[in-house]
Amino acid sequence: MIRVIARKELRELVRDGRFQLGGALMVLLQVAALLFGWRHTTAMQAERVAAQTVARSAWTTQGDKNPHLAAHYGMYVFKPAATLAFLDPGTDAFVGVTLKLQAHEQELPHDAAASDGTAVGRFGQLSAAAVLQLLVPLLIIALGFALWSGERERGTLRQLAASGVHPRQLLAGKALGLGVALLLLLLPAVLVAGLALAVGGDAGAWTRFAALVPAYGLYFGVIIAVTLWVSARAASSRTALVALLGLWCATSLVVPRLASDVAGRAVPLPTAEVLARRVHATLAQGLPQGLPREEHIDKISKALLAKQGFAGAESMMDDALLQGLELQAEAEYENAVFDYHVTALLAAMARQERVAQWAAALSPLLAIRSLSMALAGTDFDHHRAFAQQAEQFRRSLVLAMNDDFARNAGAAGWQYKANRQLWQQAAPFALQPPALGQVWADQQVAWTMLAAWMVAAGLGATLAARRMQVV
Amino acid sequence: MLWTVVRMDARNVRAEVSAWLALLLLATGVTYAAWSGAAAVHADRQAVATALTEQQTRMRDLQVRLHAVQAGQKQATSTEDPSDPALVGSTLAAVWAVLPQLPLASVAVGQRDLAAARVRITTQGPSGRSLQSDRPMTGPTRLLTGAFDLAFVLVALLPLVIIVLTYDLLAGERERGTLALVLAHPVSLATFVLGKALQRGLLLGSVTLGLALLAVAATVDGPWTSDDAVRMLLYLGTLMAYVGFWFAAAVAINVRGQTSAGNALALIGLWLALVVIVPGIVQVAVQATHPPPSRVELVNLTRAAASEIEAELSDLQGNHGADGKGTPAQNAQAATERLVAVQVALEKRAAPVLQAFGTQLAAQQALVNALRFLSPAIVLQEALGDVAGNGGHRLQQFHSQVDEFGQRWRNFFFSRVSARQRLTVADYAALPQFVFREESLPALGTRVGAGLMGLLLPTLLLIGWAGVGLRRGVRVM
Repeated sequence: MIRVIARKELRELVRDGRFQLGGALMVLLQVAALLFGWRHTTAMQAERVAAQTVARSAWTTQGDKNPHLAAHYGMYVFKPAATLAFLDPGTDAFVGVTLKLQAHEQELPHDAAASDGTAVGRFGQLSAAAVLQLLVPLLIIALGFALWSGERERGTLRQLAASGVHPRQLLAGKALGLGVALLLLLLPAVLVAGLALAVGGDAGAWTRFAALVPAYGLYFGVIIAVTLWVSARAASSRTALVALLGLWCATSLVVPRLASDVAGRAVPLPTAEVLARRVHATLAQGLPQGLPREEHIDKISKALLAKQGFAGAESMMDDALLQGLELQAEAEYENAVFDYHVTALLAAMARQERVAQWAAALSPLLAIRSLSMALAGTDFDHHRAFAQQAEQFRRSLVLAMNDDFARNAGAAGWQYKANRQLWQQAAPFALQPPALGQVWADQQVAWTMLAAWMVAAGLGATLAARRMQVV
Repeated sequence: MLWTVVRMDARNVRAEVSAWLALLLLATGVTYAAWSGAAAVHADRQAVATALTEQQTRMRDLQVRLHAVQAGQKQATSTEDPSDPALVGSTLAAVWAVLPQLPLASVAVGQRDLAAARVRITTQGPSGRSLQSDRPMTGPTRLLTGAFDLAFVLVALLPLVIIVLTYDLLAGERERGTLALVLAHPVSLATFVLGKALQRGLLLGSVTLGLALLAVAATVDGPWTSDDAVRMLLYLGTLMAYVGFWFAAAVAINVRGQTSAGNALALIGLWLALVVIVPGIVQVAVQATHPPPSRVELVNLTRAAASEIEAELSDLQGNHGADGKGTPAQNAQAATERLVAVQVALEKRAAPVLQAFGTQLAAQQALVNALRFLSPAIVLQEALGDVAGNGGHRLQQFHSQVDEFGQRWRNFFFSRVSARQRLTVADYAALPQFVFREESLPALGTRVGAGLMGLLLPTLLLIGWAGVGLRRGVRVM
């Protein structure tokens, strides 16, 4: 029975002018957004890979010099683009991609593409994800607002009720018909995306893509259920349409910006200058509730000595060894300061994101947006992983340089020069994106909310169908 | 007769719950956006004030120390010598170049949350500029979402309120069966439609105008000049033209004689096209034809071009003061001179790259300027950014003036380093000062005025189209 109803609804939809026009436009936009996204992402990735190669060779060919000076010379790293960024560029344009890793300083990634953008950038990006998140729901509303109310207005609902079909079957049939119609429209985009992945995707990208499909399926399920719910409850098709459009505006336009604004207020962040000033002050004076700078460095230095089995034997050690250890003690002190301020900043930003995520209770769009960016590897958590891994890499690089100084400088002291061999020993920076399990855990609020929306909207639609007035 | 229609429709609107609701939501949105915008502007002003106070204290301390050193009361340490031009120019006297907030700043965040509007000027060279700028830190997802500012409410939400007020302007009367009844009276269809549109237009126009004025009046901060009055006029004029455009579109669609649901869909479709899709396509077009110059490449170009120079530079900086031969003083002077030479060379190599970068950005902005006429929403967004002083133009001008000023700053100190001069009290009085030169009012007026024309022209076309439709007549049942 459900199949018969679904087939009838599908046939009607496909013959509808709104479906043909809206659908054609959507397919066009989808495919165009995908192709442009693919071109943009591959170009960006090629550029960053090239830049990374140049930066690497600048490091390895820097010539013979003292290893600590090499740590000062530093190394640039560039954030690699996520493969699925062509589907959902997420925060890509708004985060820094460049980092200089050097002794004594922790940088935050800088050079975000959006800072060189224009006013049109403020309208949001026209990505495949934006089409799916914003436009497809509108299409569902346009196709489905009259599915119940229209039957009632034409008087066919009474006939249906008289025929003894259970309202639940009717509902399932209508939802299925709408879903299949939608599937027809999304198929070309899925094929294009799959083709792109077949060309340039790895196994990880396929897994993430495979996780994206059911996530969006759930989102569209929510929209279909809400549409049928409102259509069943509304007094007329017109009321149903106006209510649904109002809901769309509230959930897609107002709630996201409002939630973002509230999150900004709930978890305030310092300005860049204030942060820099705090870091410098702490570097000079020592951590709050900790030892003053010199004592702290001394303590680390002693611990390092003890670890190497030289405790109390400073006078017997050669100068360079001592100096190398002191440099490392200083670096470790600085790392503690950076941990205190910068890691705290990144954590605060992440907290801000979580606050905004809770607003998904008011807008399913926020849930799917968050999930989609996370699965595409373009959300803030992925960016934070880059910033933190790069910092770890910086620390091990500085450690390796100071270590070489301590071990090999000997009597030459600051005149000691290391060569290419040492530079090449430092492995190139390789970003390890968070594993899917981690993404799943980070996105707990988002997928719980999406599932909750599905349950609530499904229940609402079922109840509304059962209690519907037929005339 | 027109007046009768207006009065009748006013009574109708007063009885419509949806109209009240829409207006209430608009008022709430404007109020919240104004409050939030004002808070952000206020916080920003405070941050600037704190930075400038710190800068003043630092400068005064430097001069006091300089007096003491010159009077021989105090020995200057090498890391804090207020008469050492290299040291003072690169760190001790670093100054802020600030893009001032205009009184209308709370109207639109514009590009201000993305591009630097405060830059720390030192002799360290232009390639490091992005690192030394200050702005409120904003999480990337918040930047992606965009601010809930007045511009958002006016550009995106206001048209939706207009749609709520107008989608059933004519269709509603027909569906209720009152259209035939009304037209049986001695009133022409044109007068009837005009009266209704006028009534709702005046209502919404005055509410919007009042809210827009109130929002600005409640948040205006800082001195008010005649230039600001012109900006205010441009702001309100463009806003009213935008309202006019959406009313004209609503009337034109109503006249086509569809059902009210059909009108609502058509109007939402138009809104979607103009507020979401066209701006998106324009952005894609701009990216495809004028790809924003890549900062990633810029980093490498500057680094590769100056790799050996920079290596030398970091040698000097990382030396931790242990070099060997020569007296410390001689070494220090030689090192400083080499450092300056290195920096001058570095800058020379980076200059063409940076120049090309600036040209590309300007070309991109020019293209957006031309393409904005494709959507009234882009026109209004740009205009609001312009009058708020947070638009792309003003920020680009700021950046080029900062580059210019940085050059002056470096010349001031580098010339003294090369001449082996120490800084004197007179030098401190003569330090270069950054003052932002505003874009001339005619230039701003021309740009925003062109946008205004870009709103009025499609409005007139829509009115003409509606007129033709009205003359042909509509279904009454």
